[in-house]
Amino acid sequence: MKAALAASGRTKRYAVLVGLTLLLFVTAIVSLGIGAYSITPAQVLAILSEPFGLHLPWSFDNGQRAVLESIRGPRIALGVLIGATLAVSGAAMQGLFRNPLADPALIGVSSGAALAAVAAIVLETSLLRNMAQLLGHYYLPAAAFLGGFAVTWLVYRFAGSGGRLDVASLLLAGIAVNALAGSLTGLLTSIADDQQLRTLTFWSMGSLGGANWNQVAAGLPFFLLNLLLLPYFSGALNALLLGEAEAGHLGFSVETVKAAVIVLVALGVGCCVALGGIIGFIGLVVPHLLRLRLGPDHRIILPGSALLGASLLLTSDGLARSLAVPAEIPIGIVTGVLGSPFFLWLLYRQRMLGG
Amino acid sequence: MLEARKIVVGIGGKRLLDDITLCVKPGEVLAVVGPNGAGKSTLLKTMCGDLKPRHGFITMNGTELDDWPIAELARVRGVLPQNSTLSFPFTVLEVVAMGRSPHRRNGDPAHDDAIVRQAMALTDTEGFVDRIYTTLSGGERQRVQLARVLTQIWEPVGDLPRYLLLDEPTSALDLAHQHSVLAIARRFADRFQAGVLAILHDLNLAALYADRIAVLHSGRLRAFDSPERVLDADLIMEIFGYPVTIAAHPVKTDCPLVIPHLLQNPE
Repeated sequence: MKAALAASGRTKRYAVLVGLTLLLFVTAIVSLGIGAYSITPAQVLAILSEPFGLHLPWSFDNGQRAVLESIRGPRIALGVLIGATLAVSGAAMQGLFRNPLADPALIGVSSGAALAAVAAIVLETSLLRNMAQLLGHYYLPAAAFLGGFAVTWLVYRFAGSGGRLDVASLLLAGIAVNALAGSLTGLLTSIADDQQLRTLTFWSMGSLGGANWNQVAAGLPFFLLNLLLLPYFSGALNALLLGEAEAGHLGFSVETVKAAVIVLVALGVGCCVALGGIIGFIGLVVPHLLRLRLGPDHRIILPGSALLGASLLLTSDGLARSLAVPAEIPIGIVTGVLGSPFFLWLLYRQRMLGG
Repeated sequence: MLEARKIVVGIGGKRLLDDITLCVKPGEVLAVVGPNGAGKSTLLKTMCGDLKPRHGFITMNGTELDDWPIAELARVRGVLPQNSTLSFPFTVLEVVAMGRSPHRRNGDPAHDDAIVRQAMALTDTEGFVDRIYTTLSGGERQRVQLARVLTQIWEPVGDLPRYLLLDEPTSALDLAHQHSVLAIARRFADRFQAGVLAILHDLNLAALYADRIAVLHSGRLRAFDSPERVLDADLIMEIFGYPVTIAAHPVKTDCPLVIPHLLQNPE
C-alpha cells in the first residue's frame, strides 16, 4: 500500500510538471502578443507554425511577423531563460544553505555584476575605453558577468579553508561583500552624469527591453549549463538538507557538490544580471511557492522552478510593458512590488505555523 | 573489522581523544559508555571519518577509511546522527527513502520501495509514513532516522561485512522503543554478521545488548571488555563519580545489573 502511495505521489508530481509546462506555453504565446503593436494569441500561433509548413486559419501581416521575429521573439526567449535560471538557482541555493529564505544574490553574484557594470559605465579610463571599443555591445554584459564571478570567488575564498566550505561563513561573507559592493556602486552612481545615470537604472532595476538574438545566443551556453546541470545535483541537495555529515554518509562528495552548485549558480545568475540587470524575488519566491504544494524534493522542485520562474518573469515583463503605456516600468520594480508583499506573507505564514 | 589504531584527536591544544585503540568485529555489538564530555561522540565521528585523527588511523575491512571511495562506503556502512538538522518539510517516507540513494544507480524502484517498507515496519514508523518529518516528536524522528540508516545497508554488497554506527540511538526514546531499537541492532549483528557500534548512556542497556563495552573517560579508553568484566562498582565510582551496586539480572542471570544508590546529601 505504501509503495502505491509513493507511486501516486510521483504521478501527482508529473501532472504538476505537465501543468507548469502548459502554463509556460500559454504565458509565452500571450506575452508574444502584448505590446504597442497588437498580435492576438491565434496570430502568434499562426506566425510560429508557418516555418514548419503549417498554415493555420488566422491571417496576419508582415509587420506583425517582423515585430514578433526581431523584437518580441528575443525578448520572450531571454525572459524564459532568465526567469528559469533565477528560479532554479534560487532553489539550489536554498537547498545548499538549508534555508528556505536564501537567494542567489547571497553569494554576491548580483551585487558584483552590478558594481562591475556601473564601473564600466561611469569610469572612463583609456583602458576601459579601448575595451569598450573592442567588445562593442558585449562590453557591459561581459563586465557584469566577470564582476559577478569575481565577487562570488571572493566570498567563496573567505568562507572556505582547508578544502572545506563553511556554509554559515559563506552567508556572512556574502552579506559583508554585498554591502561593500553596494556602497561602491552607490559611490560610482553619485559621480555619474545624467546620461550615465539613465544607463545605470537598467542595471539596478532590470529590463528585458534591449533584448536581441545575439544576446540570447551569447548567454545561451551559460543558461543551459545552469539549467541542465543543476538538476543533476538534486539527490545530493536533498541529502544535504539532512546535514552535511549525513550527506557524506549517504555517499555524496559534499565539498564537490557545494563547489559545483556555487559555480553553476554564479555562471547562470551572472549571465542573468549581465543581460537583464538585477531582477529580484524570482529566485526567492518561485521555489518557495512550489515547495508549499509539492514538498521539498529537489528532483521535482528544480525542474518545476525553471518552468514557473519562466512563466512568472514573462508575466512580470508583460505587466512592465503594459501598465504604463507608452512608457515601460523596469521589470525589477514589478517583481519587487509583487514579490515583497508575497515574501512578507510567507514569513507571516511561517510564524503562524510555528516554524 | 572496523578498527581504530592509536588514534589521537584534538582541536587546538586540547586532546579530545588520546591514544585509543579499539575495534568492532563483524557480528558484534560494541557499546561505548562514559560521562558527558568523555569523547564518545568524537570517537564515533572519527570512526566514521567526519573527524581526522592527528595520529593513528581508522581501517574498515583492512582498508584505511580515507582510501574508501565515499560512494562505496555508503553502501556498507550507515551512521545514525545524534540529532538531525532537517528543517525542510519532507514526508517521513521521503526521509526514509533517502537511505536508498547510495544504491539508486543500479536499483529498481519497486525493490527500493519494498526495503523502505520493511525498514519502517521494523522501526515501528509505518504509522506515520505520510506525516511531515518536522512535525514529529524527538523520539519519532530518531526512529525515522534509524529506518533511513537501515534501508541504506539493508542488503549485503558482495560479501563485505556491514557496519552500523549509532550516536545515542535511545536518548529520546521511551522504554519500549529503547529496547526495540537495541534489539534491532542486536539482530542486525546476529543475523547478518554486521558490526554495530552504539553510544549509550544507560549502563544496563549496554549490559543487556552489547558483547563488549568500551568505557571512555577524559578522552582515554579506561576499559574495553565484556559487560561482566567492565561493569564494576569501583570503576563506575571512579569514572562517573557515583556509587552503585552490581547485582545479577533477575531474569537474564548472566547479565550484570547496575543499581544506583541514593545520595544522602545532594549538594
